[in-house]
Amino acid sequence: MTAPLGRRLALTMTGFGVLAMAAVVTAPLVGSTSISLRRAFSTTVPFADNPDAQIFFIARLPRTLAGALVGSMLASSGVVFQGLLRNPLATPFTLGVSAGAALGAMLAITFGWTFAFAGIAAAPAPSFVGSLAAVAIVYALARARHRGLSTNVLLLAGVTMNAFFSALILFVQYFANFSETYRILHWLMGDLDISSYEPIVTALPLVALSLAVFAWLARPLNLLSLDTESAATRGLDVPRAQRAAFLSASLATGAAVSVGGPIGFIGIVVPHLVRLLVGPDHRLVLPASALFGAAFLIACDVVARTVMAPIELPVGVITALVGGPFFLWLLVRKR
Amino acid sequence: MLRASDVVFAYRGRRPVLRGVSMEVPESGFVGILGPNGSGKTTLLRTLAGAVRPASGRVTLDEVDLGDISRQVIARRMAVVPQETHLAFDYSVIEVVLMGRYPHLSTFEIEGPEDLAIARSALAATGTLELEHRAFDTLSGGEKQRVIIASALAQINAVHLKVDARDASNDGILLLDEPTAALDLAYQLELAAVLRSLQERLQIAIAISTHDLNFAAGLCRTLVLLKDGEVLASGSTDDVLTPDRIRALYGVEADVMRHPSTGRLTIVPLRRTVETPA
Repeated sequence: MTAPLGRRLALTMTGFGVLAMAAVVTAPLVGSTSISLRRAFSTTVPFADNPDAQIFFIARLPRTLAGALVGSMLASSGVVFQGLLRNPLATPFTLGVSAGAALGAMLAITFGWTFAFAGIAAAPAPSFVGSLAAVAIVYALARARHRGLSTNVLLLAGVTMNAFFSALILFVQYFANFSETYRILHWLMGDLDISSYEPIVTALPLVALSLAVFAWLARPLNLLSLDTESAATRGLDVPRAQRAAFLSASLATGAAVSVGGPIGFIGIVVPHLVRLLVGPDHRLVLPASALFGAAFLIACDVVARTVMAPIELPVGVITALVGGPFFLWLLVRKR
Repeated sequence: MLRASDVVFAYRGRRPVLRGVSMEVPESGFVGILGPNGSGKTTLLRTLAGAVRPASGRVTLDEVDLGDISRQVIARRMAVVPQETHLAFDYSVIEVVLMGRYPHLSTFEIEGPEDLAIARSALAATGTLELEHRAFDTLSGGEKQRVIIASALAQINAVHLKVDARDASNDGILLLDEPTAALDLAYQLELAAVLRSLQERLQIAIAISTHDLNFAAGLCRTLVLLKDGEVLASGSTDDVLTPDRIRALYGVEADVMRHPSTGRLTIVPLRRTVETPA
């Protein structure tokens, strides 16, 4: 007998929580210069004279936290897209939603647009708008087929959207100057080298909002795994759940892309591994994927920083090397 | 009592599928909606379930318009079993049945021991309790169908009331759309037996749409014959199923007789009617 859900939830959260915490604490200690955690947190040495603290807090911790944020957002929005579209191969990256977000952010970077909302700098706003535009297209496609998108349609639509947005991204890049181009290229490959807390802080409101919606969505996503009509006859307000899912997943993707660029395959690798461990119930899969996504991307980033040290690779290269074959394996296994 | 009055329905931009249909599913009734493919059976069932709103006419549950009742309240009274169920993810049987408890839980509430007990007695009522921990996707078509029926029973609290034997009546309603369409003969018979025993023991109301005359004749107390979106005839099974009506409905000559050993009304199709059906 499977244990009651409450106990499984507690166990899942503890297990994956410890994993994520361990990743956040240990990742900043790994790198080309070795530092000691005890010295970094020493209260006797002033910060200005404490290189360990400087490396820990200025260079590596923001990068690690960015990994946590981006990893958890991409993994959990992957879960939401998969549940919503009833297809385990749907992710922000494969649907072209990440590319849409990247285009939005690119436009803002290149043309120097700045956004503020209620007095807070809203840097993620353009990438949110970009992901929303991409999602609107996916939504229209999904609406046209109420039994859910078939894998073929989904993949073709994703390829098309990615090609379309990539072309626009290149076009926008044409207007950027040389130093901007270098920066943009790095970011487009998926890079967590942010060396400041600002992008994380500005993304936090979007993160909090999408997490709140995800918590509400977990049970509706279970019902949507049946089909929309069966979900409706069990008492679910299906259109409302679908809108909430599309909006919150766009928010999460927008927040992630604004920080780390369009990092691929997190949204498929993480939820899939999590389902193998905790089963398909979204009330377990969603929080577990958010936590495991954080740990997974932090780990990938450690590899990216160290494997060719002192050269630091964009983390998107690592996730693609892991995720690409994984995706193909899933595709082959599925039929 | 679930009642449709003069229901008209058309899918967007198409000609009407239902053209003024009136019928009722009485408490503890067993109603068959019979008709050829494209006659509007499934649409009528969807209208009764509140899945689609009629363009005109009304569907009422205990004299209240379905549109005026919250989804949650409707879901606690009435459950739908679709033709086939394909899950997007690999849920276990018990997880699928527990999904029926959705309308009974508040937003962040987790299924408790009582919900689990209800789910398990629903599985027992459909003879699938031993499948409890199997992955739903590994079941046969007939087993899936029975598990989905169990989920429906858990949803309308049908089995819960059974525990209290004094409570003889149950106001739950089960709607099944073409339940035999995807099943082979053995599973069809098994399903008929399950539905018959559920109806007798739990006293819930059941309405099924089907094009299988014998399945409906052997099971349903009342029938609604649907042709081109209109009711051709309705009433008790014995009165409604006549060779004339079968000819009008399907364009088929048939003998209607009482089977010597089962005593049930049995239809033997003979040949296609030569002239166009009336």
